[in-house]
Amino acid sequence: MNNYLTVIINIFFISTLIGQNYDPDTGLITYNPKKYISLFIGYGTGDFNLSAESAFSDPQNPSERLWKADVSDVATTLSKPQIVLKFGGWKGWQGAEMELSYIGQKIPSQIVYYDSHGQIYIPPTSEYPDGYYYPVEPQDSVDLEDGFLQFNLFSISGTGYANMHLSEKIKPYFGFGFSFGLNNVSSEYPGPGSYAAKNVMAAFGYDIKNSDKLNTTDFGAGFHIPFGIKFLLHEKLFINPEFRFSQNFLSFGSSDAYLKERDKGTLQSFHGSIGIGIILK
Amino acid sequence: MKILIISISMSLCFSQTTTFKYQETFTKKKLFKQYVANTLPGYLFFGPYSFMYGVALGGGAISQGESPKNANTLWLATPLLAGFLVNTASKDIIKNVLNKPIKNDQSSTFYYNIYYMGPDISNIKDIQFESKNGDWTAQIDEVPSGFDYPPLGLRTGFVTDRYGMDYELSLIAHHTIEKEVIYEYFSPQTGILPLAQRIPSHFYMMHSMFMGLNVYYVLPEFIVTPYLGIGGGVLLNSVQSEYPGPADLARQGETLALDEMNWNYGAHSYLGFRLMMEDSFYYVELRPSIYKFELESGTSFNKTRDRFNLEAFQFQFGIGKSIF
Repeated sequence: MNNYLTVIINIFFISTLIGQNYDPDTGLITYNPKKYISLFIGYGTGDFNLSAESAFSDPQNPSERLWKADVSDVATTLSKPQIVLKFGGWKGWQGAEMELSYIGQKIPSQIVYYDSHGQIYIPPTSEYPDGYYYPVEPQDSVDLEDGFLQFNLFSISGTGYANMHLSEKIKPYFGFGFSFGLNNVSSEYPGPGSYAAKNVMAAFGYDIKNSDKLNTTDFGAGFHIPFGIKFLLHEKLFINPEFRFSQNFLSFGSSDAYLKERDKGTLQSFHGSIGIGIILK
Repeated sequence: MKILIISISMSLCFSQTTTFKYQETFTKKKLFKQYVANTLPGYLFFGPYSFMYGVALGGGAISQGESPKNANTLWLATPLLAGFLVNTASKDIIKNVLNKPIKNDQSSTFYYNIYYMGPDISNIKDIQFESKNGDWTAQIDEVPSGFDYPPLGLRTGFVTDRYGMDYELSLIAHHTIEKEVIYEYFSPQTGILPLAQRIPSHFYMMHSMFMGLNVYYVLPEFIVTPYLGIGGGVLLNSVQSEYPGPADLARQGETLALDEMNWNYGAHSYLGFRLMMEDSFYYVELRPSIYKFELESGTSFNKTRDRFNLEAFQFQFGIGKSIF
């Protein structure tokens, strides 16, 4: 392991020397700074972890929520190709980019496990004039339809990266960036919590199809770790295959009336994309 | 009569000015300070005053059976008209300031006025009601809100190669959208009790005048100039409704049952992109904002102290023009 690390560090430092340029006027060794614009298109896969809780307090313990539910490792797929527009530059081994990106993901058809606890409030009926608190238990087979949740993430992010000048034409890099943006979450159903409770609530006259469909837009944040290679085709043009691991943190309100819930989720994804860039100067 | 003629003749002499061979010259920075000193007090005085007058006119329109949209139109027109009048009245003073000879100024600082429009996506969150007599409390998690007119504003400031600063005055109006909400009512007698209530559109009409400061850091230029900033300031808030309050939904036909005004504060962060021209620029900003509200509503037993946050994601579009 140590040997691999030593090799990587050596390549990195040697690569920084290749990026240097001798200026005959001043006699100094300088770096060649570059600025560029690039456009990427990509594909990937991911998963979604959700924590949902009731918007209401537990009457017996007001500091607690009425119910809570967690769903882990829900597989997600891209519903539309990922598109990224980058504005960046490098100077020697340091590079920085600002990017505008769109990612469209969805939850495909699958069966998931809801780790749910607490109670659901059933509004007053003739049988229960004061309403009724129905206990909630973990559910091991919630059948999610294809596109149960659709995610449309519009982000602006900043990335810093280490630029390795492996040769004059080949420049691998790796980096780290933060993103901030608008997250739209939509569904044919009111929300993840009410969807899981639909069978329970149906016994009390609740029909999930009568509720408003989820369509909410909130802001959120995230981070990403890109790594890729810039191949300079000629002085002004490069192609750029890139892989990136990213996590986006979502927070939104969903479902209606007595099932109103607060949802927090982490959308984790791994993307491969190909970009084409123009060097400005 | 003689005294009058002498006075007039002497006054003609006094009004004469001497032309100096060497005129005093000023830096843009100094003139900008004079510009701000001559414009800002007018806006700060007449802005809130006309805002309050507009709110009163809008409220009066509701009382006369006009639609909330018409009332909002009246509200918006009043401070805009006042702004136009302040601008017209101070034009000569500004001209005198800006016509002063400027020193050969090599500084790259750009002094600007911005006029903008900022449509947004907004929600009212963390709504808390507290009975005035302390007998009960209630809360609503979230109520969606919208706008009849997008926020409008002006900003005056400067930007250097690395940072910028401006003061901002803006008019913001939102209203609640028709929605069934659940109050989580609590009293010692009942414990926690969920109560459903369908609130109509424009149940709350919220108007604010924001007066604040922005600071920002300019990022490296790429065709457009990106920048990151934060801002904050005071809000003059008005909340009006045809209903006495959320706990008191007995509509008082064609009257303004709730008309509250008070001070609070708001804050925002933003990421912007500027397309610079020679003497102007166009820009777009993405701006998450939070506006704080606090008011008293309801009648008799249902009188409450209400607190909530209006959270918005604003898309601000504007044009900036060089002051000089």
